[in-house]
Amino acid sequence: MKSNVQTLQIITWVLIVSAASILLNDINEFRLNRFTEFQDWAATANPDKPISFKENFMEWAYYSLTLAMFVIRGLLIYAFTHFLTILREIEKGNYYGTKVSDSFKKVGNAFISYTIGLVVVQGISAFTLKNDLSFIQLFKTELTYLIPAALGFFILAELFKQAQTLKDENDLTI
Amino acid sequence: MKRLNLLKTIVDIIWYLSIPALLIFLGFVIYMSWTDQPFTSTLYGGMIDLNGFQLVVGLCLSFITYGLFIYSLYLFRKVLLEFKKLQLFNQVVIGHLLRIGKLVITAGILMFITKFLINYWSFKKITVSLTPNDLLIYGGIGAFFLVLSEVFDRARLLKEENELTV
Repeated sequence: MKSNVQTLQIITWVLIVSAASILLNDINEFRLNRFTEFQDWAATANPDKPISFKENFMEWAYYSLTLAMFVIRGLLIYAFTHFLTILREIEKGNYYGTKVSDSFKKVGNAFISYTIGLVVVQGISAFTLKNDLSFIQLFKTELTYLIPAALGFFILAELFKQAQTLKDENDLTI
Repeated sequence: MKRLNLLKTIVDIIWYLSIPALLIFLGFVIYMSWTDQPFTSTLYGGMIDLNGFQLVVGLCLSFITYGLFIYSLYLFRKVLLEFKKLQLFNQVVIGHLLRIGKLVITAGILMFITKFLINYWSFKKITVSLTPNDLLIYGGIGAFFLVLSEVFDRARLLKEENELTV
C-alpha cells in the first residue's frame, strides 16, 4: 500500500512540476513578446494621441483570452495539489476523513471548471479572433478523459463519506 | 446517483464505440500482416514508414495495448454496475479495481515500448524527453486504482466487522 502511494506521490509531483514549469515558461514568453511589441510601438507612438480601446480591440481580446488560458491551466495544478493532499492523508492512515472526501470533490470541481473554461475560452477566441473550430480536435483528450475523471472523483467523494460513516459506527461500538 | 448514472452513460458510450474500433483494428492488423504492404503515416511528430517484421510487431503491440485498455474499460463498467446495485465495498469491486490497476500499468509500459520501437525504426534515433509521457501518466492511473483497491479492502473489513457486531 505504502509503496503504491509513494509512487503515486512521486508521479503527481513530477506532473505538478512539469505543468508549472511549462505554464511559467509560456507566461514568460508571452511577457517578452508583449515587451518587444511595446518597444516597437513606443518607437513610433504619438504621445498626444489617446489610447483607443476600440482601435486595438483584437489585441486586447487576444491578451484577455491568453490570460484566461493561463488561469485555466493553473486549475490543473490546483487539482493536482489537492490530489497530493489525498495521497498524504492515505499515507498517514486517515483514509476516511472529511479532508479526503473534500479534496476529491475539489479535484472533481477543478477538472470540470478546467474543461468548461477551456471550451468557453477557445469558443470565444474562435469567434473574436476568427479562428476556426478545429480547436475541438486539440482538446479531444481533455474532453474525453477529464469529464469522466471528474465524475469519478465526485463518486469517490461520496464513497469515502459512506466509509467514514461505517468507521464512525465501528469506533462507537465497544 | 445522478453522477453515477452520467458516468455510466459516458463509459457505456465509449465502450460501444471502442468495440467496433477494436474489430476494425484487428482486421487492419491481419490485412497488413497478410499483404506485406508498407505503412506510411504521420505519427509521433514525424513521417512513419514501416514494413515487414517491424510493421507486424508495431501493429501487434498497439493492438494488445488497445485490447488491454478495452478490457480495463469493461471491468470499470462492471465496477460501476456494482455501485449501482449499492454493493460498494465487496470482493468483486476490490478484485476488479486491482485488475484494472495492473492492466493499465501493463498497457502504459507496452505503449511506451511501442512508441520507442516505432520511433527507433522510423527515425533511427533514441530521444529522451523530460515532459510527462504515457508511461508516467498510465503508471499513475494504474497506481491510483491499486491504492483504491487497498482502501476499499479496508472499508470492506470495517463493514464486515460492523455487520458482525449486534
